[in-house]
Amino acid sequence: MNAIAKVILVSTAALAAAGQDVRFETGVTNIHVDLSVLQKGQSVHELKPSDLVVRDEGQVQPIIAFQEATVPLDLVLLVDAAFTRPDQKNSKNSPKMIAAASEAMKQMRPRDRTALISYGTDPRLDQELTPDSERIAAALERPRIAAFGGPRRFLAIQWALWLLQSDLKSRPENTPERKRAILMLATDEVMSWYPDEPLIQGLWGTDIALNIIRIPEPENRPAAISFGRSAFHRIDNVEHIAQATGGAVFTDPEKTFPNVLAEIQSSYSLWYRAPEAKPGELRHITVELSDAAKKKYPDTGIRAREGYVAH
Amino acid sequence: MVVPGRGWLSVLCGALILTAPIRAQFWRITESSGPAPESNKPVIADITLQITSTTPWGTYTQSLKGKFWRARNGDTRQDADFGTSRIVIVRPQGKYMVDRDKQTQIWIDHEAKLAAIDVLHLSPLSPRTSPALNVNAIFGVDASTLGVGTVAGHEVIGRQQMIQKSGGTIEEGPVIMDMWVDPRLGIPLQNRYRTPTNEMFQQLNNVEERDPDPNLFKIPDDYTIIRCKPAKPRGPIRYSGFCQSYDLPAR
Repeated sequence: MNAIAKVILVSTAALAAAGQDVRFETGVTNIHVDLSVLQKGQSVHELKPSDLVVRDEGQVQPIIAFQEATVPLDLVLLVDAAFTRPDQKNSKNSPKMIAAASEAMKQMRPRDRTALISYGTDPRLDQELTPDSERIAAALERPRIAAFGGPRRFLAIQWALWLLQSDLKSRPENTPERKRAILMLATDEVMSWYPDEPLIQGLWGTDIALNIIRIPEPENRPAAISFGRSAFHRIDNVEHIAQATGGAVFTDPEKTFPNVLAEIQSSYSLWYRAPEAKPGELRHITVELSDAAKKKYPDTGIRAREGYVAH
Repeated sequence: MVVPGRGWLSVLCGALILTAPIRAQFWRITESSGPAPESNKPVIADITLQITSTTPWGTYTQSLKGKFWRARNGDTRQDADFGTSRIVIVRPQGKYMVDRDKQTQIWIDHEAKLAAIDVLHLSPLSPRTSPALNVNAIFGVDASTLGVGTVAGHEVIGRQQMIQKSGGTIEEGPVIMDMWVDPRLGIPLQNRYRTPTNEMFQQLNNVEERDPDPNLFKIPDDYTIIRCKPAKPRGPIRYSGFCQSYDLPAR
């Protein structure tokens, strides 16, 4: 598992300078954290490891590897099938949303990969991970006849997790580190319907950030569908999952799509040596700017996953 | 009889499907065709939920445990083992029918000490309470008996509902709901909800017939009550349903 990789210490300075792949070999268990650093909505660039303070269960941890932007991204797009139904093609929001998503795929870098899962009554894998943005755009344009996304969006996140976990397992040891993220295009109604605690832990375990673009509901899709939850979830919507995993919730898909992708791609990655912990123990992470960096970059926020499961 | 347009047929079909999990899992615990609400037998039981997903990357199973209580007046509470509760307060009307418009649902997050209150308005979508609109007939819901059996040591009667492809809105295939009810307790002990790639299985175990603590159905004093942001009614169906979102305090 890359989130808790077997590592040999790597020179952070060399990595940052050369922008080379991060490779960890056998040795000590390390924790990988992706983070977005934003000042007034804009990404902050050229931070150094010394600008950041990372804590594990409140204890400051030395950063042993640090990179900005260059880590390749594996992204799973989750699209509510209600937006790809043929009878939605003429509605106000769906074509714009699909067009915005397709256009944004051009931003993906050569080594980035994207997969597409649509969700209706069941999730469906429409496109496996691929670096070919045109294939993703084509998959986005393919209509899917499905009922409603509603309760299944939670299961769709689970599918995205399993896809990324499966890909991770299939990769040979000592391959370059990759970032993993989910970008869900969901309607306004984003309540949890499925157990969210195991899902958060699963996302932590594979170091996946959940990001959500909230989209106004299609015009003829009524609010009446927002019922039928089970008791196995918290009073909240999936936004808290996004927060816990270091992701975010965005609105206005047409304007937001490129920014979201840029933000996911441009985030920093850092690694620190895992403190001793019992296997299965839930550990909490906080990342903040150092005092000096706070003065240099006032009003800056950091998004990072809030925990992990020790192995 | 009001015949809805095609768009609303889709809506109703979707609504029917979306209610399937809860109807299969929890809803009928309080609205089953068992004893009248005012004479419910009290129940305390363990509850297990298992979700199995068949994906392109293999089969995954998730299991969760919880607790279920039903009071004699029909009020129910279900807890998940990671600190949430769902309480349904029923207000009986008539001898055999609960007035679903008067049901109140309380969601509690014990970690955050939050309680959200919903008043349910489901009647317009219920074939039972809206006889002029037979959703089952419109959308090809086949109901059949599964005979008798035993679940958790109780004699049960099984019933299956299958929602076929309908109205060109569902390409995934049928949704099948099996429910095994203990007729003496008037409570489903086992529910199974199947789609082509996912299955949710819920069962009550260690069922005891004794009165639960009345305090279980109350919101603790030190909890913050949050209110629903009600959905705007749209179209010809008067329905607000569960909350779309709440005014949540910052965490």
